[in-house]
Amino acid sequence: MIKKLIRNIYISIRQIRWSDYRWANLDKTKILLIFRFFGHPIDTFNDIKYEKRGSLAIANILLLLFFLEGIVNYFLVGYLFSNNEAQSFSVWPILLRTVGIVVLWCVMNWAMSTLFEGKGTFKEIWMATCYSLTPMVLFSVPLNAISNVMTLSEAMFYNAVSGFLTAFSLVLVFLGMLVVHQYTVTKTVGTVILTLAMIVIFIFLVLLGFSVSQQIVAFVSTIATELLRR
Amino acid sequence: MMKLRLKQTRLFAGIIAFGMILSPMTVQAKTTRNYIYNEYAEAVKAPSAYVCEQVLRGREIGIGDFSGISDIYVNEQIYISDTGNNRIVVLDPEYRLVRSIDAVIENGASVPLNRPQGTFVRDDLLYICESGNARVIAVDENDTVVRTYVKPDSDLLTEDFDYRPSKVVVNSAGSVFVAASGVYQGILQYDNSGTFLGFFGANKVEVTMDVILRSFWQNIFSQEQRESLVRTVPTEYAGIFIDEENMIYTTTISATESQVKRLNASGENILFYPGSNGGILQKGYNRNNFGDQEVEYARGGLRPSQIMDVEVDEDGIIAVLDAYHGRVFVFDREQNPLCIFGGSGTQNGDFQEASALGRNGEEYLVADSVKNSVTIFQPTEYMQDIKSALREYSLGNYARSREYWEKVLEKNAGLAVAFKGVGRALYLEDDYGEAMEYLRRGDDRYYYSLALTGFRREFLRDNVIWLFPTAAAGAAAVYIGLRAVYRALIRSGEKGKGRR
Repeated sequence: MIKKLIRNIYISIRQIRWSDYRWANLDKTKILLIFRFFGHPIDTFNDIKYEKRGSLAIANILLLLFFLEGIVNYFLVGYLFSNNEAQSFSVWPILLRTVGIVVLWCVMNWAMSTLFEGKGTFKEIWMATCYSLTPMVLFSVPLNAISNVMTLSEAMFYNAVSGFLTAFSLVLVFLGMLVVHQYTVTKTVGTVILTLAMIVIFIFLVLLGFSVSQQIVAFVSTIATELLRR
Repeated sequence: MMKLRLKQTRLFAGIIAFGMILSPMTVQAKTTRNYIYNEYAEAVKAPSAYVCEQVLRGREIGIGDFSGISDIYVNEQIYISDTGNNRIVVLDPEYRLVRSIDAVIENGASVPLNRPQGTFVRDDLLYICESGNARVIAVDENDTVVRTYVKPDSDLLTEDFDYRPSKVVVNSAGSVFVAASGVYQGILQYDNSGTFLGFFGANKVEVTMDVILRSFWQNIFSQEQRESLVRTVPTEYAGIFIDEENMIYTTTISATESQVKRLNASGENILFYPGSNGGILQKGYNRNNFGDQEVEYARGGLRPSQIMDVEVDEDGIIAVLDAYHGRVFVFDREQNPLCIFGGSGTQNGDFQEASALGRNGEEYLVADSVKNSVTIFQPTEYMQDIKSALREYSLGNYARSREYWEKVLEKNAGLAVAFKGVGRALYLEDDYGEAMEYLRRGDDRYYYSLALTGFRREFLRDNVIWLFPTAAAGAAAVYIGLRAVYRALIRSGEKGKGRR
């Protein structure tokens, strides 16, 4: 079974069309699509799903930028607005917070949508989610750069803008799911809540499995030492 | 080449070996046990701030060994409550014996003292907590009892409650404040004539998981089951202190935060930073914790500091005594750590059971109820510089304050409060750019923000001539550039369509 899984992963990697990522082969007008989110978010998701205006390559690049900007912002944010320390920097929490949560969301939402008659494919869910990161990808670096010359009395503006960017992205994710799965609003709300619950359960199971396996290892190694020493 | 490399290796090994020979000596140096907390709440080495100058023993003064000293009070003379020997030993500021009080005259008869504890002097009257006789007495210079303050007739204290007053202070209006062991309702307040007025400034119950669970069970249990539960009560006060502004400071042994409180007239603590540093982010140092920030783990459990006693000097420098570890923590008036000294052990300058803290001018006195001695600590030049810097700052001599802080930084380049001091002085001298550097090192966000405001204002004022035209030109260039990119993208799209 594991052999089959590895083989499947190998096949999917081989199926990636790397040529899509070459600048010359990219339809440049597709880049302009991401700016339409600020005026007509639902239309934009419609364009991605039905008009083939979306691009998997651009979606992946957006996610990569989101991750890289997470690293940049760690160092860029003004002293008054963070407790970040260069010596305690670690890339893994940022990777989990950006790529990890997107992957988890897409997988869980895909699992939910198959149960609740969602019309979206995994590729569409992935693209809609990654495209929804646009506001944060475009504006979080300028905001954090400006925060270096902001004082505590302007902290309100910083918090308001960064909160707005996050909220905008979350709304886009919601609208994306609504369009991609052809759901009603109530059904979207329901599946979003279920997806979040699934994510929580998944994290719980991972932690549980981790601690149980740790205890099993400890148990077996204790027995092994006992047998060896007797 | 090879030979040279070998030579270098040998030299290197020689240096290491020499260093290894030297290193035990540096480990034994006196300063290694001294530490201070940095802004991340990590213990780092610091120069010694106070050194043990002298250890007073009863035999050396000429009155026989002390036994279980419970309090030291200094007011022109030094009053040592020698509880185990039922007497109060009075010394002059040079630590020479003045007299020893074993008995007081009450109604014409001499009555021996019974386990005297806290003492206080106000208006030529000596107030003594006589815990063995469940009262506080005020005696005049002839040792005659003028007034007594007895167990109050209050509903809050039961009939069979063993009333043992342990610490007393008197404000300038003559109100008497008494801390008693086992009384968790707060400080007992008496008026001038000895009438009980009420309780003052009780500790609040700290909401822990234990307390929440207990209140949950109390809703479910029957009356009988409920009575068998341990009651949730706030904790008692261990030490009290009164400053020149009649503000009362209290200490709580079992607390892990706000161990020292400064109570206003309505009994509220005003020595507290809400949130993390007043709503501003902070790197990890908790200014409301007066004990060790890194809690020691020993003998199968966490051993937090037990803050027993507090002394505040005229500059607002707060010194607290950790009875468990025998350490004295010294803070400035903003609760920034200045130095930590003492420790547990048997050497001079260490304690087995520190029981009281007193201050005689520049010197701190720490009593040990097991070693039966009083240890006198004298500030080093390093500590003198810190104190001078704080004093000059509060007097408004910022430049001189900065000079002292810079001297301190030469001896200890890790003292956050020194960076703060230099930064604030620079800010007040309008050197904003430099001030920001120092304030950042000292993690002083409020003043950093002020300095940044000033820096920004000066920058704009000096550069306004070219800044606004450049900004306008830049915005125009960005607009034109983006338009060009947009057009190029559209054009490439059209070309692509044609190709397809």
